[in-house]
Amino acid sequence: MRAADEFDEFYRDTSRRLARYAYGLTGDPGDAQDLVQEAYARAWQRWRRLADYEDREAWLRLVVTRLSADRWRRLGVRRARAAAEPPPPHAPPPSEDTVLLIRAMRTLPVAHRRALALHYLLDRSVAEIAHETGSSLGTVKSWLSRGRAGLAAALGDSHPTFVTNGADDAH
Amino acid sequence: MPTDLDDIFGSLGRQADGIPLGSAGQARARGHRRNRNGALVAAAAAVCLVLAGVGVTIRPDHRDDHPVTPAPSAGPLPLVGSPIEFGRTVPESGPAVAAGRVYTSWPAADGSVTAVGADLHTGRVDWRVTGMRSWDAPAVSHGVRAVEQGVMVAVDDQLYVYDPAGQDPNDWVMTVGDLDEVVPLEKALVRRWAVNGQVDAHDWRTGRKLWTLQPSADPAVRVLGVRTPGQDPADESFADDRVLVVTKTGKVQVRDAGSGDLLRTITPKSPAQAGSMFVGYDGWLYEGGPSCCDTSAYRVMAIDLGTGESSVIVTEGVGHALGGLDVCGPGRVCVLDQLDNALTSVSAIDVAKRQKVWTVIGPVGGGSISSAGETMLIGGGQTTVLLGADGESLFQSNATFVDWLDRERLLVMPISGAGTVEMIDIATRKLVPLGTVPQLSDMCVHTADRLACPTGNDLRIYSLSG
Repeated sequence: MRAADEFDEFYRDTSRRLARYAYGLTGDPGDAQDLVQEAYARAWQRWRRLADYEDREAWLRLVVTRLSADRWRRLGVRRARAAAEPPPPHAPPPSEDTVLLIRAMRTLPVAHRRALALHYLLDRSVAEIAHETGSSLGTVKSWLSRGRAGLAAALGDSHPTFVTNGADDAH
Repeated sequence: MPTDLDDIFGSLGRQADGIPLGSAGQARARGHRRNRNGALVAAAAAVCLVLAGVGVTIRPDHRDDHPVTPAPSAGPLPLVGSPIEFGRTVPESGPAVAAGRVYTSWPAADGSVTAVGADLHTGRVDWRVTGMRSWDAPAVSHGVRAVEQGVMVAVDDQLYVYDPAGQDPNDWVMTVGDLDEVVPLEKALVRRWAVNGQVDAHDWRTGRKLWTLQPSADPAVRVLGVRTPGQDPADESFADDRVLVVTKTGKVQVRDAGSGDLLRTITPKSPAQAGSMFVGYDGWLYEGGPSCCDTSAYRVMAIDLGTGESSVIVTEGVGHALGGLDVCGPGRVCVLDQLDNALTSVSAIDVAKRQKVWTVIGPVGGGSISSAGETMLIGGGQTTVLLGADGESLFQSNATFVDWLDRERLLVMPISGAGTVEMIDIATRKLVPLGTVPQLSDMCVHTADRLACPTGNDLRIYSLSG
């Protein structure tokens, strides 16, 4: 299979999941679009080397995480794209629940957001998140617990109580 | 009523699934164009301090108090010399300016990369290197960075270092990983290996290693230069004789840039972190980044490189994010704070007193701050705002590219990539049209009197002084 075909297949198989992660991390559809494209652009640049990676999706998520945390770099990405590409199509407006959750997520430290996005949007277990982030199980559990507490506090009266399905340890 | 997190995240996930994405082909095309040089050479940086707020006053910004005189129309911006032809369409050619020249690079169809330098005042190409090979043709990534000491051309993971003065037989090349740092100091080109924290300082002319820090139990995680007050803001190199090495445990080593000799090891009050924003300026290092605990969003440290004393000068609570830092006058630091990813504020902090002198509301979505003297340019959102020394709004523009021409003037590029280039005189707030440019393919670079812009097929140098 040609490298381009292989890359395109990988893109088809994984880009939706990466978009979920990017959206969960940033809460902005435009940022998510851009970060996903940028991450895959970087993947294509080093596609031959990535072939040896055990988990290429984890590498993409790391790129998205870093880019989302680096506003200066994001600025550069946006400027370069603005000059070279047509604007992406607009995303549909978010639901009320989504808007509230996004607002709440934005109040959390990035480590908590990352853990919550991996767990709830990509269905990753605590052990998988620990492996991906290079952290201990206890740390990940703490991130999830404090992230949920932070969400509850930020959502306030709109969503006074959270119930969870106890899935943290079940995966 | 209890809410199931799975349900609410499920809603978020479905929303994410509806976000239109580009195609794989578009991602590959962007990858082709990507100029990876930016990742190879550490940004010159802008950083600062922040202090605990005392007596802060939030003032609305009075944009209407200082209307800008509208600009009349203008003809084409005057060209300097002839366009530098690429010979093919090159969507991304990332020019750079240094020491009176503009440099750019582009790949041929076979992946070999050419780099040229042209005199900004005559437009004449007087420096050229060809045949830098890529093994990834046609997906070669390339880019150029230039400082007075050398021209660095990145071709895939090779970094070629050339003498801008001519065809030096001692030109050299090194292999640089994606996560490595390359920091251009006046005395040496310093490279940190991400894989083990080794630091090598190379002689600009020959590439010979001047000194090396071997990997250690407390390896280097960042290498930083220090700017001096007299430096040209456009100069990407660091003129201070010292180089700073941040270690994994958060210590800051102050070393002589020429010899690598350890001058001082500083253990800051709050450990320095690799992912922080750093600004080394005039004998001080300012660091802004995540705090140790989840009770605060970020903190900013001030470290006196001369005495080794350090202090946390600003801490902001959960929900805030650090948008940018810069030194904005003697003993003063300005901080761009972001709240809820859209609302911003800008504060000026007296470093000695550790007090916020003033705080004003910043532009929505603002994500960058750049100072010239005591005046600040806040950008990154949908508007760019110029703030005076006391926080008053002097100018605002919807243009996405507004930059300093010098301390008295701003360059305003057309929003759409084609249109009228304008200059604003800060003192009079008069907007002066300088001339029109055709559709651009990449970011332009400029000096106080020259503008160099890629169009996709060539690089054009324009005069900003008529």
